[in-house]
Amino acid sequence: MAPRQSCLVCQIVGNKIPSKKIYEDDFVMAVLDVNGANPGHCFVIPKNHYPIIEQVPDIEVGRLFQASNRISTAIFDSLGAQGTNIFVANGIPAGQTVAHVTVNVIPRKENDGINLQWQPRQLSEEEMSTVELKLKEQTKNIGHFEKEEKKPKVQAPKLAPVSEEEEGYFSRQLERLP
Amino acid sequence: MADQNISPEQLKALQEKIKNMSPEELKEFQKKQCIFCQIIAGKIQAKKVYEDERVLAILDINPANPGHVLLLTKEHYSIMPQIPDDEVSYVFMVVKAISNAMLRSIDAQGANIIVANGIAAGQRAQHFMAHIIPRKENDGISFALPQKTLDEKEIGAVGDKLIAALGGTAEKEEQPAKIPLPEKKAEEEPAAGQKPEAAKAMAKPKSGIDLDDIAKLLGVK
Repeated sequence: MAPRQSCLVCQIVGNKIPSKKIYEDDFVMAVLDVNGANPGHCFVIPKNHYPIIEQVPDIEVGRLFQASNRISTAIFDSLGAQGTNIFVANGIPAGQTVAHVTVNVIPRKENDGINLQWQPRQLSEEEMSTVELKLKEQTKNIGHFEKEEKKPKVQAPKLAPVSEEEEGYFSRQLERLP
Repeated sequence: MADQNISPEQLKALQEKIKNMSPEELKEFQKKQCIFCQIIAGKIQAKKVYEDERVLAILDINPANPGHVLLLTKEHYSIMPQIPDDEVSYVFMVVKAISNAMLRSIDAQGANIIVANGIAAGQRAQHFMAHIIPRKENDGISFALPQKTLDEKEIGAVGDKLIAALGGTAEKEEQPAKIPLPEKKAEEEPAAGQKPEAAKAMAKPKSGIDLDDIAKLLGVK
């Protein structure tokens, strides 16, 4: 999708807002977060504008996380981190605050005050089985991914893409954000 | 992993044994100890929601929300930095597809994707996995990241270190690092028949932290 003037991240990609860039290729850019959770906290972003990850083409998803993994490795190698988190909030209920897909790569040290834990729940066998069956009904269509070598899309992905209506809903929701 | 009752002597012997293993032997050993490798091999039951030649997605038995999925590589990797580029790429294409399936099948309104590398990051299992947690409004989960105000000089210094580690030049402030994509490190796969010590020395990265050490922390205690 074309860059959006209203999108803060697109303005960073377009150099209209200054940032400390640490990585760039044809699809992906990574910048340091000035208000990061820890020093070295990076945003890895697709250069094209996509509000949510389901809208990002497979190839770009692949490249986005390859870059994230390389940056995570560089954080281990050069910053003396004891760990790293790769964290994505997809959709407002998941805590997404900017309408442009963002992968957070966060250097970690023991007792650094960051909490990415959750309260583990115990579901009944019935609840687990219901969820399993529902998910399987959709995941059986997975498996036709775009390949970087092939120029045009040879196979349309079998999985139904996010409909315009849904997409509009997610985007509208995100656009309400400041 | 199951709590094993072993004597201090046995533990010492085990630690000694592990110390002398080549990377290949160590990987094989970790695999045998790894509960997720046993799930992949079908020796332990799990609720599988997606499977192909390279990955397996199962339901977390202690989910954050119903439908919480763990996506595992079939190959045993302790931490994500050990995974080759094309495998990383594939794993996250599947993550995207599963997140999409969650929107369609269980009324999720979004998802969190979380990977923890190392105990300090919250990793508990010794097998790489991506958590995909379906989210709904007011579901009681919050992953708010703290916002620290960092010194500009500090940020600059950290950035230069990262640029250098990624293969770029730190001097040119405005020039971000350009990294040639897929490129395999020759040193990751020491040739068979080499002495374990030599292989281990080869596997060590040039700088400070040894990824193998971090990976090992997750393995046998």
